[in-house]
Amino acid sequence: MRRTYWWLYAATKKIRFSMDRERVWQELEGHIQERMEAGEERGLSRDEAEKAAVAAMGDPEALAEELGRLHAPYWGWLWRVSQWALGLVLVWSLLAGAWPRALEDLWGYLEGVSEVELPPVVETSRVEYEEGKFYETTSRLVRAWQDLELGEAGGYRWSVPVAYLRCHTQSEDAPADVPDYNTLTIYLAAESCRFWERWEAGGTLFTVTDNTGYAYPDWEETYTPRRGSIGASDYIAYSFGPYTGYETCFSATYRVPDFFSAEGVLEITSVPHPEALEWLEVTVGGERLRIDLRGGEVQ
Amino acid sequence: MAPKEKGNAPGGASMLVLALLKDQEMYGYQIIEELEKRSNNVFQMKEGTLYPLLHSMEKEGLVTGREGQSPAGRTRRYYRITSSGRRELEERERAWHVYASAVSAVLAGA
Repeated sequence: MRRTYWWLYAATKKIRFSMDRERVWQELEGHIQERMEAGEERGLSRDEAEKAAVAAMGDPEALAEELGRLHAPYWGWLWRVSQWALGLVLVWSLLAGAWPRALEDLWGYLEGVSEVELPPVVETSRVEYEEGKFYETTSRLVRAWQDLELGEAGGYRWSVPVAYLRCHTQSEDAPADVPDYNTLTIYLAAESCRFWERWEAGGTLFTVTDNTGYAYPDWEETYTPRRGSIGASDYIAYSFGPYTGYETCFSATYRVPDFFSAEGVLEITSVPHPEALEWLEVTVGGERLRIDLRGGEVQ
Repeated sequence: MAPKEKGNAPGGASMLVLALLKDQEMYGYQIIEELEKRSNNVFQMKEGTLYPLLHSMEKEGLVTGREGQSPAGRTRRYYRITSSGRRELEERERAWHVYASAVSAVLAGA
C-alpha cells in the first residue's frame, strides 16, 4: 500500500488544517480502496489493482494545490473558534435561564425531535403508480410511547421523546410487490454537559436487536436497484432507505445540532412480530441502550 | 454564488454533479460511475476534478456531506443536495437550455 500512501500524502500535503486533512485523507483512501477492490474483482492482482487505482486518481500535485486552497487553515480555525464562542454563549444562556438551540436543518425531516407529534390514529393515502391506476394505503397507529428514559451511552444521556408503531395495509388493487408492512419510528434525544467532546454529525447507529433475538439489518444492505432511462440511455439507480423497499431493516441517523445535545431518528421497516415486541437494544458509540417498548397500546 | 469553473459556457461539471445528487445522496466513486453510466461513457470525470468540486460546493452550501461506510468498512463521504443547491441547479439548467438551443439554431443556419 506504499503507492497509495505516497499518493495520499502528496495529494493532501497542502491542506494545513489538520482536521480537514485527516478527513480528506480518509475519503480519498476509501475511494482508492474501492477502486482496488473493483480491480481485484476483474482479476488483477492486489499489486496491479493498487497501481491501476492510484494511476486512475490522477496527478496528486495538481489536486494538492486545489485542496490546499479550499481547506485554508484560516477558515478552519475561524470555524473552530466560532464554535467555542457559540459554546460559551450557550453556557451563558443556560445560566441565564434561556436555552437556545442552534437548529441547523441538515436532514430536512429532523426539525428538532422534541417538537415531533404523533401521526393521526388512522390515515389513508392514495398512491398513483401508473397513469390512471392507483391504490390506497391505510396507516393505523397501533402503539405509541412518549418520554422514555434510556440511560447513558457515548457520554450522552438518552431519551425517547416520541416513538410509535404504525401498521400499513394496502387496498386490494395494490400491485403485487407492495405488501402490508409496519414501521416503528423512534425519535432519540440526548443531553450532555461534555461540550469538549463532539460526535461527528450525521453518523449512523450500528446495531439494532429486539427481545426475540432478531438482529435487524442495516438499510444499506437492502437497497433495491431501480432502472430508468434518460434520453436514449438506460441507467441503474440504487434507491436507498426503507421508503422504497419493504424488507425488514433499520435506518438510523443522528446529528449534533449544538454542543449539548445529539438527536436522531431510528426507523425500522417491518418488525417481524410486532405483537411480541417488548424491547429493542441499540448500540450507540459502542455502548448499549435498551428501549423498553412494553404497553403503549393506542385506543 | 456558484464555484468558479474554467470557461464560462453553461452546462459545466457542477451542474452535472448537482443533477446526479438531485434524487439521492452519493459518494465520490459512485458519482463518477453514475456519470459515466448515464452519459454513455461520454463524461468521464477524473478524481482530480471531482473532489475539489465537491469540497467547494460543500463549502458554498450547495451540498452537504456526511461520513458513511461501504459494506466492506471503507470510509465514504456521502453528499446530498441542499435547497440552495436545488435552486442553483434550476438556474444552471435553464441557462443550459438557452445555450443549447442557441447553438442548435446557429448550426441549423439562418
